[in-house]
Amino acid sequence: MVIETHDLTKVYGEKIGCEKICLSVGEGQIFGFLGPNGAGKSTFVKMLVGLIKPTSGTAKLLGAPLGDVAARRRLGFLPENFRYQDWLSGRELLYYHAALAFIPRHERVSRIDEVLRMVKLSAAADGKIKTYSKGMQQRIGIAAALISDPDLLFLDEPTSALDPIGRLEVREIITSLRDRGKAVFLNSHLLSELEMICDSVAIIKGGRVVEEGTLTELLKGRVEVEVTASQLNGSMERVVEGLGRVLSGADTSVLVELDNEDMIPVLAARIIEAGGKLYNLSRKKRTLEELFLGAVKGGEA
Amino acid sequence: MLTIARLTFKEALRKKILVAAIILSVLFLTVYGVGLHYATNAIEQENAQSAGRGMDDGPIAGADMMVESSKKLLVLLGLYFSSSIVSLLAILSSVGVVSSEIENGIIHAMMAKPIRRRDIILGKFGGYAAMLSVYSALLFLSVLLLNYFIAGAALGNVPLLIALFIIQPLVFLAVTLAGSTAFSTLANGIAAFTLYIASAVGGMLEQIGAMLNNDMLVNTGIVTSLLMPVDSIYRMIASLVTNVPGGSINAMFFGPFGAISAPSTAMVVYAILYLAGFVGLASFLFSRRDIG
Repeated sequence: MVIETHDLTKVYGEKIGCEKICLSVGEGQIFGFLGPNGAGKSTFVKMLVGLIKPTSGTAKLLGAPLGDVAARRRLGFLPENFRYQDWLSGRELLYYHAALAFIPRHERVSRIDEVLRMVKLSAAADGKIKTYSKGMQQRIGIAAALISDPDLLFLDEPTSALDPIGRLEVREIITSLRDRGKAVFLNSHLLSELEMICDSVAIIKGGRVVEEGTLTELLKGRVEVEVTASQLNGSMERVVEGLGRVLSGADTSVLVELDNEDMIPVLAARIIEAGGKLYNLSRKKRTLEELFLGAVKGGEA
Repeated sequence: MLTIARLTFKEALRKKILVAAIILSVLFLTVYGVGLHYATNAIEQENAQSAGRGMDDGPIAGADMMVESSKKLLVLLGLYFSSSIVSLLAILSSVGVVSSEIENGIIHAMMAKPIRRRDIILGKFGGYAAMLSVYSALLFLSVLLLNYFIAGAALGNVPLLIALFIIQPLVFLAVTLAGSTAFSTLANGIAAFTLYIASAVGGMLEQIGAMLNNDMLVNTGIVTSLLMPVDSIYRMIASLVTNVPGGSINAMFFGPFGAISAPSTAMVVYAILYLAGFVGLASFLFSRRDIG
């Protein structure tokens, strides 16, 4: 595991930042961390990268206890409110970060060129950061986070300032890192983006994790199927009886909730038995947005 | 640490406050040079007139001493205001050295790098200390050169004097750095500036107390010096500059710019320990602080 936390808690006076968070992230995994504003996402990330100290609980990053300086050589971090010395050029900033990451002097130039190519900033590398657009500043921030070729990368809202093409490019960078066995911890509000690339997610609300698991498992959820059928002998309610229930729809198109996956072929057989013509029987997949809204709204009176 | 120090030094060089300090220093040196020119002429005219009046050896020797003391006073004036300039430059340039980077988020990405928090503090201190040392040494030498070429006043012990002169802004830097790890930029600026005023006033009170033989005023100055030893360093410089034979009358002549009540060498040691203590405090406070 590259991240392991046990009951990690941060309390500010009477206000809870994070409470008893237990998470595990493995190598080569893209992990999405979601939650509404003020839920404690940034607090959790800041504890892991060493900006704030936990009130209680323990954590290991890359096998080393939290706060281990040497382990940070294998860590990359793009802060949420990224801001850099804007009087430097992009290349100078990366040189500075390369030196801070103890990259050997003779490797710095080639590594800087490599990350500049990755974030597509080679042409603008010698311009001052203050002349960069917000999107370019985000790219140079990502480049600074990648400079040490980290095994674990924390990205806090990495695509918030990027256009759709930029987002696609960042997604490609992230997936290429996973392909190389690197782990990426993503904090983002862009649920559709996370859904495209994450292997696992955790949803945090009020400082506590309320959902956690692989995306595949979490999105499976209830078994809902959309059915389009005509010329049934009897109503759809009757056909579905004992298998589940009709949630919505009328006439030929309905949404049906089944008790389990095995009921899907049984439902198809019943429709045929009832003399119906089956035009469509498709399983409705939950979106991450539905999962997220269900998780953060659940329990609210 | 050296990486941070190098970047901090470059950053310090491009600060507007440094540009303002350079412009003001040039203005100060110009006004000081003009004043020095006319004051020297007046002193020498007065001296020539005294000699012309045919006084015997005793009064001429006294007149020479007066000329010498006047020239030293002019040096002290230059050094006193130069000390103020470098002390204020130290405060104003470094007032947000840590706090502003926390406030604007620049420090966040740096904190995840494999460096200890104390190295960030030492690097920041090193960068500003290098800038302030170069600046202070140049300003000190400028005052000395103006006195040498215009007034013909030469000083001994120049390396020691420069070293003492440089300690002054470095002490303020250490205090401001420590404040910057605990307070907001504005609060730290107000606190450091108040400390500067207290130090200057305390130093003046101590000299006036020594002139008037008033223990209460002297003790007030001593307590202030313990709280902020920068003025004591200036008095040490003043004592070395005015170290001419002639007894207490000479010391009195320099008034609040001199060192009637001269500090001991222990005060220099105290100032250096004080400086190191505040850098250590900055490191301690920063290592415990949550960077939100």
